[in-house]
Amino acid sequence: MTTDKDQERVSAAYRDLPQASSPPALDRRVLAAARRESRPRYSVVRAWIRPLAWAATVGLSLAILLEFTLFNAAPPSPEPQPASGAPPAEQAGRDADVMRAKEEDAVVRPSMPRRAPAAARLESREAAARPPCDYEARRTAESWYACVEALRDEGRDEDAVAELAALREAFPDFEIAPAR
Amino acid sequence: MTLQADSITTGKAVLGTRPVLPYAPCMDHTPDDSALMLRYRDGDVGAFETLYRRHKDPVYRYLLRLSGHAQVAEDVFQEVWGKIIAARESYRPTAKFTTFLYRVAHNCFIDYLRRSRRHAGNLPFDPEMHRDPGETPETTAERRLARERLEKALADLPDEQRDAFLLHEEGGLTVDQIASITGCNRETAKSRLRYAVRKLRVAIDEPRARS
Repeated sequence: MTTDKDQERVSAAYRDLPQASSPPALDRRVLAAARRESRPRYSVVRAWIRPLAWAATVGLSLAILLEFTLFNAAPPSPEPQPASGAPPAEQAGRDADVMRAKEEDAVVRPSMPRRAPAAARLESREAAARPPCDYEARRTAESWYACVEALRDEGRDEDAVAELAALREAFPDFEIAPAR
Repeated sequence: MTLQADSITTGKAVLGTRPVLPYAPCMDHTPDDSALMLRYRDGDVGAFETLYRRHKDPVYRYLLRLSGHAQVAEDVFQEVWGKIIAARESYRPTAKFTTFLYRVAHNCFIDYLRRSRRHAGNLPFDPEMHRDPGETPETTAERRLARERLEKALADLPDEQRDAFLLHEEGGLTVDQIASITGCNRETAKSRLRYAVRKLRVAIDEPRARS
């Protein structure tokens, strides 16, 4: 049977034995191995992984935010100039056509450049609807008639006839010079 | 004399409960052993040096007295610390570091015995092991004889009892920790420790008994 006293005596006697230490050469070998095996480069990478991950997350979030705010808030592309003298209802209809054409372009062919075919077609239609002789040409009877002559020269006889009728209506006193 | 079947695990100074040993002053210092090991895992070699200096002598003495031969102790000692170094990446502080350390030391010694197919008791006597650097001519003969008796009794202990005793004395391990390291149940570990203490006490008391 063992008692606490026995244990204490044995422990004391054991402690009285020569307290050997590991040889210094052995210590040097072990510590050298520990230094050799440690990989500080790995620890540097480990130390930077978290900050880098945070920075990447913040950067990506900012990029997405800018993408949404800047590009969505960009000013709309300039609308085509309304034709002179066009009534409001006609202008509203034209605007609606323009919007529809733009949406059509955006939906059907999103990767196409801005001047998509539908918009181009609309512009040609508008050009066709515009009076052949503009406001500047219609200021005087002479300039208007010169415009009519130009239309004839271009082979746009229908336009020329319509413009001539409008000229006569606007300037009934205007005497048309004899045919050249 | 009062019979104390459980004296090993009860009381202030009984086996398995003594928190700090004067010759193993390294167990409860700060920073924590596990924290040092984790710092070493992260590349702090200085942390390993602290950890090593804290535990090297008790581990060396454990192996020296277990094997009875300095060269064997050195070989196994180096292997033990090599394994500790190699285990730094997978180390998890789930248990006390000393338990982990002495488990590695115990297993390395068992592996050494298997490899060499030599029993520790059959190893040649190493006079270097018995040398005391502080020994002076003034040391009394009686004290020297007492040491020799204890050392002989320790060497004569069955391997399992010597292992349990050294784990307790050098590692400051409890009965439960000794049982865990040596792979036996708690009662067996306690019994081994008790028998070891009894035999050593008899060896110490031998001259007194004769007189």
